[in-house]
Amino acid sequence: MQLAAGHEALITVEEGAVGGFGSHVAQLLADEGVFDRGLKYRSMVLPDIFIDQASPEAMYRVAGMEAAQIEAKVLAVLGVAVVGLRA
Amino acid sequence: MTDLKTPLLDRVNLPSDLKGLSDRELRQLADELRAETISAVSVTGGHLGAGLGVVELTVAIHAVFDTPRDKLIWDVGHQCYPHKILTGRRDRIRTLRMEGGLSGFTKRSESPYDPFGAAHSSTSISAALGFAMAAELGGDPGDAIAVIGDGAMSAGMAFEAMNNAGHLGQRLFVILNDNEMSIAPPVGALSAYLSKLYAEAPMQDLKQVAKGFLGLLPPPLQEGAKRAKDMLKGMAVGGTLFESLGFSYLGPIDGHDLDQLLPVLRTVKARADGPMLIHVLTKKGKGYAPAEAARDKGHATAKFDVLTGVQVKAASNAPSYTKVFAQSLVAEAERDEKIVAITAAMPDGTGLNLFQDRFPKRCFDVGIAEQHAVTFSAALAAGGMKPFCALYSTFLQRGYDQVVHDVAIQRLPVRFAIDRAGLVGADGATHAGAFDVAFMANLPGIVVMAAADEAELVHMVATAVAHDAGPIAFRFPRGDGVGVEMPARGVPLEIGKGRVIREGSRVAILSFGTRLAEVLKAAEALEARGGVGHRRRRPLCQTPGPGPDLAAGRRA
Repeated sequence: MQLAAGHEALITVEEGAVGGFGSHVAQLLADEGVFDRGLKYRSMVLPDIFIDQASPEAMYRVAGMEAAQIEAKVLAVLGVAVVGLRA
Repeated sequence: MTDLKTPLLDRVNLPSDLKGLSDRELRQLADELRAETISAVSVTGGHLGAGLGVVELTVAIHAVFDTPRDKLIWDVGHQCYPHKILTGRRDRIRTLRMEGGLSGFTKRSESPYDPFGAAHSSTSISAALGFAMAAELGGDPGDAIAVIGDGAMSAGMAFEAMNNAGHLGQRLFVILNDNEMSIAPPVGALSAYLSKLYAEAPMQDLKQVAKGFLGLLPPPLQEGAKRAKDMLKGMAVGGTLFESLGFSYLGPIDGHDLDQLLPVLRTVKARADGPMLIHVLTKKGKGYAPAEAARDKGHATAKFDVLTGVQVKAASNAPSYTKVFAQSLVAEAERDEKIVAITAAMPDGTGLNLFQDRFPKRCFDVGIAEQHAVTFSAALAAGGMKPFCALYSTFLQRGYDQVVHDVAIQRLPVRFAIDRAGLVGADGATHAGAFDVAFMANLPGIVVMAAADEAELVHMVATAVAHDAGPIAFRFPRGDGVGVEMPARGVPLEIGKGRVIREGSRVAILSFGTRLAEVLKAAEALEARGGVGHRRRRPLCQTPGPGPDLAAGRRA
C-alpha cells in the first residue's frame, strides 16, 4: 500500500501463471480503492500458452521475463519513448 | 558415432515396414534399435534406462499390432525413444528434449503414432480404456494397448482404471512392464506381490495362464500352470490381484526375448475378448553395461561417452536449490525431532535422500502417490509432527484436493517444499511449475513463500519449521543458486514482510521469487538510462487473506 502511494507505477514479477502473486496484489489494491485514485499497475506473469521445451533461459525469453524485457516493460509503463531498445 | 551400422533399421521408417521382416530379422532389428537409442541419448542426454528396457517390446508391439490404427499408449512416456525411432522420427532423434526438437515424452501434436501424450505417471490405462470405449461406440476404430511399469502401476489412478476396465469388460491390452524398479528401488506392498509372483514361478517351468489359454499349453505344463494358479489364489490378497479386478492374466514372460513376446502378442491379438494383462519382465538399462551397473539403471543421464558410459557433467559455481533445501532441513531436524519428511517416489529428485540417510525412520517414500502423500502429511501434522511434504510443483497438482480438503480446511501445519517451481527446461510443458502460486495462494489460511535465492531458501526452511499456525509452502526453482553468501543457520523470516533491495522514486517492482536476478539486471540497465527512479521490493512471504493483513505486511 505504501509502495502504491509512493510511486507512479507498480509492477509485480513472478515465475508463475496469472492468478498468483500479481493477482493477489491487484485484488488488495482494488479493494483498498488505490486504482480509484490512479496507479499504473502491471503484473508480469507466464503467458497464456504452454511453452515448448528449451533451456529455461530461452523459455523465460518466450515468456517475456528476461532482464531486457522487464526493462522494456518499465519504460512502456512510464511512457518513456525509447529509441533502439531491444524488445 | 559415425561407424554405427544399422542395415535393417535403415529399411524401417514406419511400423508398417516391420510387416515384411521375418522373426529372425526382427531380433536383429532390436539389436540395431538398441544401439541407435544408446547413440542418440549419448548425444542428447535424457532418459536412457527405461527405453533400453523396452526395445524388444517396442519391436514386438509394432510388428504384431497395426499402429497408428491400434492405439499404443506408453505410460509416463520417457521410455518412448525406441518407439519414436520406429515411427518416422529417427531423423530427428538427436534433437530429443532440445528447443525445436522432439519431445522427450510422447506428444499428440508430434505424431499420429502418439495418440495420447504423457509425462506424468499412471495415466495410460485410463487413456487406453477411453480409446477402447470410443472405438466401441463408433469413434476411431482399433485396439488399445497400454504399456505401464510396475512403479506406475502402484499409483492409485492405475487401479481406478483397471477396476473400471474390468467392470466394462471391453477388449483392452495392458502390458505390465515389470523391471522391479521405478526411479528408486520399489516401495510398497505391490512390489512384494509382484516379487512373490516370479520368485515362486520360474519363467521356464511355470506359466500362469488365463482360463481361455490353458488349452494352448502341452499337457505337462498345463498341470504346472493349474498348480500355480491355485497357489496364487491362496495368497492373502484373495485371488490374484489382477484377475480379481476383472482382467485375464498372462505371464510372466521374458520381455527381452522376442521368441516369447511375438507368439504371446500374436495369440492375444487373435483371441482376446476382454481386458488382458500381459506381465512382462524386463531389465532397466538392458544391453548397455554402464546403465545396467548404475544405481538408477541409467534412468536420467547427461550426454555421455558411448564406450565408457562416463557422463558429461556441467561445472557449477553455486549449490543447487534442491541440495540447499535438503541440507537445511537436515540441519533443522538435528535440532527438532518432530520434523519428518515425505516424498512421492523421488528421494533423489527432492534431495530427501540426504534426509533419509541421516534420519531413516523419519523419512517416508510413499511411492508414486501424491494424493496419499498429502493426506498422510496432514495426519502426521494432526498427530503432533512437523511434516515436510516435498513435491515438485507439477506433481503437487496430483494431490490438490487433499491440500484443500485435508490440509487447508482443517488448517493443519503441513510444510510444502515445492521444488521445480517455474519453467523447467527440457521436460517442457508437462513438467512446468507454472500454477502452484495460483492454486495454493488462494486457499484461506495458507502462507506461500518464494525464495529469491539460495540463502533465502535456508531461512524459509527455518520459517516453515517455526510456523505452526497452519499450512505453509515455499517454492524454489530447478537448478543452481545465484552464488550468494550462505547463512550459517536459518533464521525464521517475518511473515508478510518484504525486503527493499533498492530505492527509487517512480516505479516500484515487486518481485516474488527468483526472477529477482533478472529484475536487478533490468534495474541496473534502467539506472544507466537515467531519469527513471525505481524501487525493487521483494516480498518474501505472502499471507493471502483479509485485505488489512496484506496491507499491514506491505507497510513493513
